Amino acid sequence: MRVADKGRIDRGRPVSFTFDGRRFSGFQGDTIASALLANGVRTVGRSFKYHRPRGILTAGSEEPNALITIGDDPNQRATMVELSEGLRATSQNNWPSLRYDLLSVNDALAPFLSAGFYYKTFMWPRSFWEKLYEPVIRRAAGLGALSGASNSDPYEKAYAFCDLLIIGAGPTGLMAALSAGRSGLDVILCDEDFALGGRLLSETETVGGQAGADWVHAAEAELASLSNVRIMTRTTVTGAYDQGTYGALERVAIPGAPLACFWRIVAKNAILGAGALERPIAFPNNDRPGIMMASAVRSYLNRYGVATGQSVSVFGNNDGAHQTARDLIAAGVDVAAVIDTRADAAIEVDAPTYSGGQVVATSGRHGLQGITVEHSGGRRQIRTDCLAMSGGWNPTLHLTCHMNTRPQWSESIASFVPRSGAIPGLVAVGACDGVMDTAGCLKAGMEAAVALGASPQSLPEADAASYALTPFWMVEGKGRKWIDFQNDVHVKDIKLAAQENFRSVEHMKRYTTQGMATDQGKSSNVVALAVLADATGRGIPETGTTTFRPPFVPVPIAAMGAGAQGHGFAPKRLTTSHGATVARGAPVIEAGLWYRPSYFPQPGETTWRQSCDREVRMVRNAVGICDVSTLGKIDVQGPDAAAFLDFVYANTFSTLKEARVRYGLMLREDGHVMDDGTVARIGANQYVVTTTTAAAGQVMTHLEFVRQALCPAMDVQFTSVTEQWAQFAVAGPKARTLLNSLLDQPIDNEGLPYMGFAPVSVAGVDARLFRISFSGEHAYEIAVPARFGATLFRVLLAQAESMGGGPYGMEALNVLRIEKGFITHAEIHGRTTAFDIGMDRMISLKKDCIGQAAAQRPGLTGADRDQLVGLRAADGAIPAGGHVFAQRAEHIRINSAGYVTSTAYSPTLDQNIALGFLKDGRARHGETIVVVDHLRGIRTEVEVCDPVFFDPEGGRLRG
Amino acid sequence: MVKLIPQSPFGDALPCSIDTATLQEVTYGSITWVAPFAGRQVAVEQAIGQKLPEPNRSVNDMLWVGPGQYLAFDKEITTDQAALTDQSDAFAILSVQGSSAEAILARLVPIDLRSASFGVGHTARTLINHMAASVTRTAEDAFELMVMRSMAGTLLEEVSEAAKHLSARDA
Repeated sequence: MRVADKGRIDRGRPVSFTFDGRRFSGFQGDTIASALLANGVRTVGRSFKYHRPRGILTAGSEEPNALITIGDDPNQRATMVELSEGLRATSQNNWPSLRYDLLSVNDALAPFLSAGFYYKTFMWPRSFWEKLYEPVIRRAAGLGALSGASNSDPYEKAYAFCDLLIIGAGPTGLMAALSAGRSGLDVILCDEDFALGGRLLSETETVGGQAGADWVHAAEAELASLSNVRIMTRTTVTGAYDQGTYGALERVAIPGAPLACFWRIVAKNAILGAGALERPIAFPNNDRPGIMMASAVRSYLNRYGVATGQSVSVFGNNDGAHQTARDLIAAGVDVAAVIDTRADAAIEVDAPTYSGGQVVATSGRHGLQGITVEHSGGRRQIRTDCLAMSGGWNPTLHLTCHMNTRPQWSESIASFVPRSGAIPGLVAVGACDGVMDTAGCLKAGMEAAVALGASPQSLPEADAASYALTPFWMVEGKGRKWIDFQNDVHVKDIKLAAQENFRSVEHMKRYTTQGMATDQGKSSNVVALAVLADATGRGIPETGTTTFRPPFVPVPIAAMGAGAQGHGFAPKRLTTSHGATVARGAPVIEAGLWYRPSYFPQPGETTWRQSCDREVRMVRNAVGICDVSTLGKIDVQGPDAAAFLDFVYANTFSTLKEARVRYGLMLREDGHVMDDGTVARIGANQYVVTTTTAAAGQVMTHLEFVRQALCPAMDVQFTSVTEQWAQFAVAGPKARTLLNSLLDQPIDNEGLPYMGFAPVSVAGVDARLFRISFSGEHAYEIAVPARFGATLFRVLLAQAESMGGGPYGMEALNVLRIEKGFITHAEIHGRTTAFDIGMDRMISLKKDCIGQAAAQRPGLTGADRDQLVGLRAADGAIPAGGHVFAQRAEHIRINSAGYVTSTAYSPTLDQNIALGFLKDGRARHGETIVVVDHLRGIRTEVEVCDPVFFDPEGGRLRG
Repeated sequence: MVKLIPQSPFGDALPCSIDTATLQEVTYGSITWVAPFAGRQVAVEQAIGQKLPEPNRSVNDMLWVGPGQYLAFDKEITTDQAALTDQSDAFAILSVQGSSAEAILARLVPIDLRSASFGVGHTARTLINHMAASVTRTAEDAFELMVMRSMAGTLLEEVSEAAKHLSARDA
């Protein structure tokens, strides 16, 4: 219920929303949690394992219970979701409804479902685990469910840099930011709340003589006016990484903008002012809706103007808890009881008080109706619909553990505090360092900034009350005493873990699941350790703590991967002919990052094979055009260019004459083939190296490595010119005729013989012409500066079509080269040597080269090697990837004699042909063997032959 | 008679404005890659009549693009003291100008672009999302982005999306 005249919500701006289909109303400035409480909704979800009704426990980021689905996004913490108009929220983990959840039968079976139950029960029969047990358990237990649809919401990723990152904008962070900001430091101030202020927004205390929240507003206004201070609200720093790098998740919360932005913040220094989290007390049935953290009850009252009950009780072990009762009474809310575990507690509250008391039982299935208190005066039943509990505070030190430093135990606050130096460049101060009063936090914030070069500031007057508590963890007695609300872990589970010798804190965590899932034990960790320490007869410091890993809060994968969904995964490289290609209806395939046409369909063609066969015949009989700009091109220059290429290539290039082209084979250090391509000598000290499309980057990196690491004394320079030139293959018997119709000066066979290079010009534009062929035909590659690529392609196509030719795509290109036995990375796949592909004689022994020595190792040559062969089938397809077997051999793995790498139907030969590797294959030409593809169930008899199926003499190349 | 018509890597998509940011293609008649041969740095400087830029700097019409490697824009260079390669068509060059330019790039470029550390005339070989790029600050509120010509479309998409996301926050 709303309380008049309380809270910092904007009552002039009502906001309507739905929860499980019911329409509710709240105000601007509410969270879903505060709005639901204001509407009297107490049960918001069902628990993970036992499907117990659960309510809202906290008012902040640590919320373990109130996980809801917003739209399609599951597991949102209701305490962190700002109310906005039309918001659709639904509860989770229940069926058919939140109120009548069939799986709450689990709760009745609880005695059989203790920790370790699954491990012990579902061990056998073994095969049942995957098929039956796991699917059933997964359906029954769980958090929210994903929609199954691809996420269409926009997300962002961004980078930020600063001198000082301040994490948390409570009194500590604000005072640090004011000190650093006034001193001119470049500051980023992050807070995960949508408003700055931290606990000051939720308390009635004063700072500098004004209400805490008013002091916050003044500080915020000043910080906003400083150009060197950047305020980032709704931003949770999720991880601390090397070199002062922090991850941060910003919830953007602006309609039309990305849902969230994942920041990588690099900071010279960081101040952690993350505050502290209140911890619960374990007492029987302490999980009923209506039982909440005392600080949360104050937050809902003071910040949101919501009374969390009509008659509230308070149960704690520290003086801070009493403030809850005082605030409620001042606001006119009935307080039924204040129970303090300390016998000597002075409870200055105008309500029934019970010093030395404990809550030993609670009642109310769907929400708290009453509690039983045991105290020196006996037992007493109290009617109450909300119980505010406080077991003390735990510093929010999670980030300080992200580099593997464990925190240390502090007796004075009965909790863990960070170790200094845990994160280089980060200092934890204020409540997250165990300073529990506002005056102390303000001072610590300022001093941390001063230590980083800020000038000292005068501090506002603030509350300096000492934080008095006596550790109290658990009430003995009948009933489950919940510790980890999110994972349904209670005291007995932890005792059972200890009893079964899972005494190490890490083992206890895995045995019970305490501290797992989305809240990572923010509320439960220290209580769980205390219970484990008690059960194993050790102190808490000896028991130790589990540590915390990033992220501090759940981070949507969509935010971390923002910009990389779908096509954003990699840049698209488009050729200059791409527009014309797509306009002709050619399907494109990715090759490297490039998009290349598969084939160019013509009217009447219904299968790719029809188009492909036509394109092959077109190239063999007339002329075809293919964009080959995607092949890597490297300009190599310098006095030592020739010597450098001799060293990186197996064969020799220093002997290549100017204006001539030579095929080259590049080996890896281990003697296997890295890449192949052509090299043209275009000047005395200048070469143009080509690589395959896929290996262009790899070859460039390799050359750079060789130059810097292996040949630093060589005077050679090189750079990629792949992008400078648009290059087109013009292949077929009519290639020269076509070119001569475009070139400013015609060419002939004498001026430009096979494997020749000539600078030419087209319509006055300087171009390069290479007479090389990957099709086996009389062919050229013509290169023009890329700006002219699109028009040259169109001109080439028009000319070709007037001559009975046209464009051809990757499918035809592949068939043409298989017919000629030309290799690609299907054959030079990283495990083949020059010997295997029949090119071992290319490794010149007159000079040293990379891979030369290794290629001669025993085992890399000889009859035992799988050698490149051609395969032809009289009938039936030859499946790529199929294995080859001798005719009478059984078709099992150990009898495999090789494999098929490339396969095609050859329209030229009207036959299915393939390239493959066969043990001792070169000596077996003429033999009939069997290709078996177990995957597709294909078995084909093939004849072994030379890999060059067509025009073995190469007469057509030279024509 | 055949006529070859030069075309922009960006097609006709530029110039365009997104909120306060203006995106424009930057064109040069010629871009020459210059890499002095061993020990010829000074000889090259004499030949071209100016100092070569320091690492991560751009000076007048020359841009550092890597150790011992520079690009010269619209600059006639004749020397045998350096490897010279015509790269006039190798790049897609985009200028991003406006008060939001730095914030747009902070969504794409993983380096510190605050003007105190990356002032006018500073340049870096870095990434624009997944693309290798050269990024140069040409004015307090303007940057020049160079990527491979074939990636022009992706560059424009990435920058536009970042600009739209940023602009949506002010809506």
